[in-house]
Amino acid sequence: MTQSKSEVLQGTLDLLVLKTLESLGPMHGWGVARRIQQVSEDALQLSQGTIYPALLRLEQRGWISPEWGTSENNRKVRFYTITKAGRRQLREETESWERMMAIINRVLEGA
Amino acid sequence: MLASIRAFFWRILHLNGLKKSEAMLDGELEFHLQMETEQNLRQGMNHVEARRRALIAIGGMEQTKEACREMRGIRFLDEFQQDMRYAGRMLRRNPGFTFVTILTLALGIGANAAVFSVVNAVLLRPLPYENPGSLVMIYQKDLKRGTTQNVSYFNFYNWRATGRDFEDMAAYSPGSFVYEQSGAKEIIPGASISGTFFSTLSIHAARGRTILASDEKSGAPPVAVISDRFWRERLGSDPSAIGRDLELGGKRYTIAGVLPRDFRPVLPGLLNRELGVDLPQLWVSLSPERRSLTDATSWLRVVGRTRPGVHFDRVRAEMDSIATRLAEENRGPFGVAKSGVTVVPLREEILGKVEDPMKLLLGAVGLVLLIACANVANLFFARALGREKEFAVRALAGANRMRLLRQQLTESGLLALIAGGIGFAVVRWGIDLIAAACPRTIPRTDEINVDIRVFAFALVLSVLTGILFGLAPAIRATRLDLNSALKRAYADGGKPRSLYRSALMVSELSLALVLAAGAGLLINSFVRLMTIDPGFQRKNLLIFQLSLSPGSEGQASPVQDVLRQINALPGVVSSCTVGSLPLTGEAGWSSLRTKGLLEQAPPVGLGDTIDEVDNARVSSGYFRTMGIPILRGRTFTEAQGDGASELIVSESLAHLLWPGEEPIGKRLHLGDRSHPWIPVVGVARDVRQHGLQQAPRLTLYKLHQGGSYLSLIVQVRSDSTKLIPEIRSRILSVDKTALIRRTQRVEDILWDSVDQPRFYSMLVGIFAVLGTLLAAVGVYGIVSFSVGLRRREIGIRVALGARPRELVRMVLSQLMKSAAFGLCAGLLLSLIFTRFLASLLFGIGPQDTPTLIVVTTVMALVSALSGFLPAVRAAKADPIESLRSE
Repeated sequence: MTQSKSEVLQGTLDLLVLKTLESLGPMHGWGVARRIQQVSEDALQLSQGTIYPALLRLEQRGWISPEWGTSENNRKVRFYTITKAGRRQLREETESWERMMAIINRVLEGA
Repeated sequence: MLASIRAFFWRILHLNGLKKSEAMLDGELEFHLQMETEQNLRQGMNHVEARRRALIAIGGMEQTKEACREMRGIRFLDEFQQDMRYAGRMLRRNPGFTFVTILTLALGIGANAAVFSVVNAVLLRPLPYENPGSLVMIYQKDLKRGTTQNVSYFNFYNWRATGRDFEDMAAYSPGSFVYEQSGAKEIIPGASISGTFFSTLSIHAARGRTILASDEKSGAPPVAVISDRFWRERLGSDPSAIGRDLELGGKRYTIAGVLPRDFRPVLPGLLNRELGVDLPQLWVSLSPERRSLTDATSWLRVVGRTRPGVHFDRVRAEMDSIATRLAEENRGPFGVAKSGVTVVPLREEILGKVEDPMKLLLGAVGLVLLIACANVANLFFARALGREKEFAVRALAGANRMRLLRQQLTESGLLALIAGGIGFAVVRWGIDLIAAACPRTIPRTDEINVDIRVFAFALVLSVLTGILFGLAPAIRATRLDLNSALKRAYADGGKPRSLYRSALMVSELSLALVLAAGAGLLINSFVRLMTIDPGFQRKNLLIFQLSLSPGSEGQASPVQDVLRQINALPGVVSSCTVGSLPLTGEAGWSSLRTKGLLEQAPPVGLGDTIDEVDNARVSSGYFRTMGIPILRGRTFTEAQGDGASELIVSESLAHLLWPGEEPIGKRLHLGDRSHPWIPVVGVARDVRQHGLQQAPRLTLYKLHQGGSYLSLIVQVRSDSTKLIPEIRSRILSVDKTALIRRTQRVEDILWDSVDQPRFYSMLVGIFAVLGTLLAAVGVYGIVSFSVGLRRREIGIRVALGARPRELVRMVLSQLMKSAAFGLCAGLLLSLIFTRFLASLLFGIGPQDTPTLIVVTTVMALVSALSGFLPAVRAAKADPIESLRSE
């Protein structure tokens, strides 16, 4: 794996997964990973070793909820949906992320 | 925070679905792989290549599963299981270590659980009434003296009628009843109660009804309510007993009902000491003459239930204003109207006196456990040192420090839990012995049992103990420097470790010293109590409590005949009667009015009355029989006959009334001017007639040879109870209907009167011995261990020509430094903590220097002795052997 496709920060991964589920509706694990990879234009490679523990963590916290569904190739698989608490969390996380980015930008621009 | 709590519960909920979630994960990962492969296929790869690429992209399947498992929390359980297995193996491999550790801890935890079972029953469990916090005791207050007294019916009646902050108010008066069944008379403890008694306490009858407010109205027939025990034992559980008549001491009562089996009244004064500490079994309604509003006698105890939400201060204020108003109205009988009122919460009234000693016992037994913990910590520490290599290997194999720490704590926790289980089991089976060992005069000791709280206490204590003795050695043992740990032989021991050992030794010795100081003070105080001179003879005295049939009009009472008969018995030195039983605190006092009643003006500084003068009505042989010396003048002469024509005063009363003057020949009025002047004929030495702990009281002796309710005191030649049946039969030969209520030796009364101090000092003494033994074993262990670490050094010294004596001195001097430090710390702690003993000590202060010196010396000797043995052994060791052993 090259440097540019490196690991995602823990906190931001949650943010990315939640955002993906919010904008695209219920998805299975592979779909989420694929989608993030696509949107980031392959800059972010999510191995299953990253995505599944993350999904489990979000489920434990009650931010997403799993459901059995049928995939596009007709297989039974778990689809994840963002919950109300998950949306709230996403909103908060996004805000704090943006705040953080603004601060870092200011610092980098060397005010 | 909320999310992590949620995650925690998620884990618990999903614990039993482990297999299912594993399978689910497998399916999900498989799906992922397929999707990845299909994508590759679409890009034009062949099947083999597509799958290969997909597998690479995905990364390790097992790692993913492992990561998910950890997320689910399974790994924690897995590891816990591993740790438990491992701990079990370690404990089995080293049975000696395991046995000693478990024994030490089981002793500590068991002793704590035992004391807690007592404290639980006495202090922690709520009083056995509905909403017990709202119950208060109300007493009359003597405004002049500030002392509290029982209550007259007049006051009770008015308080109950006007007290708005009370839901209900009840009065009771403990007593005993003569119950006759098929010719045999028995004395049964009981109480007379107001009609509101059971409603105030919210107690309902198991059968029939309780005594009701209507039973207190004038003209209501006398009724009785009986205890379940009385119903079963005397009436054969006969359901038709209700409504039947019950004759008690010549009076008829109708049995209204039977009380619930578990009804145990916990109220002041109800434990009948006179009849050998027993609970009331008979409850009768107040007799009409006792409900007299013109009688000034204060003989009732009053308990009230306050309205919910009413603050205690407001109740107190209301009662004060009621008492003031009653005093102003001045309607009551003479002397009663002028009384104030004292309100005390029931709990405080019953448990106030035992709260401190109970805390003391908990503290003392807690110290024992702490010392035991220090011992076990030292053992663990020594063992951890021996396992350093093992830890290093495990750390190299990838165990992180938390993991090692957890494993160590699992081991100590397992030990503590096993020990706790054993300790708890012993308490569980021995609870009756524990209960029997408690003095019955401590309230609620009859309710001691093992309940869920005792179990929870033992469990929590075990867990805490495991952490307490396990954590420090575990931290120390897992703080690894891998490189040196693997290389190092254990020979050098290392400085920081010896600091840790000294700390253990210092804490053990200081804690043991605190315990020993407490025990020393209590035992010293108890010995003082037991050896105090009560002013009368302790031995060879028998006391019979009698009810004689009253001599009919104009006829001599049978008392004289009884005394004559008994005096004629071989083995009897002399005998006498006294109106009230000494040493029970029940001798009725009466105030002696001095103003105008002395022939000359009362001495300067003496007010109108002298407080609390005991009025003893004795027969002429009293002083001889009790062994009370007459200091001046003479004793009563028998020829005097009945009536108060002569007085004898106690030493201090004589000194108070006629300081520096000759008391013999002075005259006194008893009562008011209408009574005749009575001359004082003798001065008797002061006696502690109210018990060993009570200072002697001012006493006035009057000659009184009659009466029907009295105590007969017999001095016998040798301390034998053999004469008792003989004396009883002589009494009955004079008066066939006489009732001998109770027979006791004065010695036994004295012994019983100090049951609580005896119990506390004995228990703390046992704990102190245990603590000292544990500390001695601890010092022995620590010294042996550190000597063992220095084996090579000692070997070299011996090889170079050091003599054993020098080596012993070397080892001991190091020990004594720590010991001295520990003893100093202990002494300081003792000075701080023994202050809490002050209220329990008799005759000595809480910082009694001789006691502290003795205790410290003993502890110093003990620690020197326990260090001496291993030191000598080390010095005698063969140097070649010890050098080779490394």
